[in-house]
Amino acid sequence: MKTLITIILIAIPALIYAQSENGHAYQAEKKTAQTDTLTFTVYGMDCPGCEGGLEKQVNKIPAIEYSQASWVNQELKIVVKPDSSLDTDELERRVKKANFTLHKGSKKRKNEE
Amino acid sequence: MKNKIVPILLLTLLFQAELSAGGISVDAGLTPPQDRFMFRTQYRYMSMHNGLMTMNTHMVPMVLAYGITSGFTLMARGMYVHRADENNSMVNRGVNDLFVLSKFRLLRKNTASYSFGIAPYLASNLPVGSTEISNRTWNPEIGFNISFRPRFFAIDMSTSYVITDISGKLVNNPGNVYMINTAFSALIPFKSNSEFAISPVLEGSYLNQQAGGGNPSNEILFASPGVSFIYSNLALEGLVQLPVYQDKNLGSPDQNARLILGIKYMF
Repeated sequence: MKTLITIILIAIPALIYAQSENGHAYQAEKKTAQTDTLTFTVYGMDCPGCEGGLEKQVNKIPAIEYSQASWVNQELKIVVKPDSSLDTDELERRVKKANFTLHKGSKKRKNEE
Repeated sequence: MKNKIVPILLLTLLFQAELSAGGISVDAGLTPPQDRFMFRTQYRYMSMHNGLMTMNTHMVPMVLAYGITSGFTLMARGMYVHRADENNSMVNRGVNDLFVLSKFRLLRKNTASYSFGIAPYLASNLPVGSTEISNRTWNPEIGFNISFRPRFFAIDMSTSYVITDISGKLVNNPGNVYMINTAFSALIPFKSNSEFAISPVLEGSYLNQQAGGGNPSNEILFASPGVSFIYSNLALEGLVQLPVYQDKNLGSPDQNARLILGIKYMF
């Protein structure tokens, strides 16, 4: 029992640290991105954990540089790789695999350069 | 010693079903996204007494769920159990049966103002646990989850029926079990960081164990306030299960308040 409690006590700070590092990596990447950002409305996210599930699916699309979901704003921001185009049908399939729904006609484009 | 054998037998038989009495927030809700893992571990403390003795149980369940597709999830749960009476004169400890569950998405509707879903499941223990903890019988379970989530609130329900000892191996079969778990929760995001949220929850857990093998029926209702702190894919959770109603048949033990502390990580 003591061993298990010790493992749990070590695991909690380790997981929090890992989360923090993921956030820093994303921030660094964001600063160097020089491509188009697309913003979509996505329904069905109801907690912070949903964001990671959606991003994991969306990031499998080869044309996507990175993505960031917001469960509070019901938004998915996507940065498309330079000289690539996003297949919105593929995006819709990926969002569905995450158990969410892409709101059609919700795309907004923003040039960051 | 002899006068303790019957009470401890009854407490042991009841214990198997009591493990399933909810907390925290209707395990894993609906089906997770495809290719998504969910790991959860908890510390659970429960205590019951029947006039002659008190049984204290400490448990550490570990759960791993995986979304094979967005509509089909597999889950496995292992659990370490340490159980002893108040004098530590009777101690049982070891790993309990492995529990496996498959869940299917029957319905999922997402709109701007709410999401709603229904997911039935089939489950069973695999009777491979330590003989000190497990009675090594097959106990298949059927049930379903319903989830209604209007934006920053959530109402989740799970109901299930467990067929105890389907092969009829036990002389003192404690009877089949019917359970309903409900959870009402709010998710309050921190404005500066949407990855961080706090979620107060009130759960209700009803468990009805039918009479069987000479054992009386057992019925109990818990009201359980709790809270989760969620940071991105990580959640820390705590819950106190308070017995607000107990059926007092002959030999039924009194349930004391229970404590659940847990951590959940998704990746």
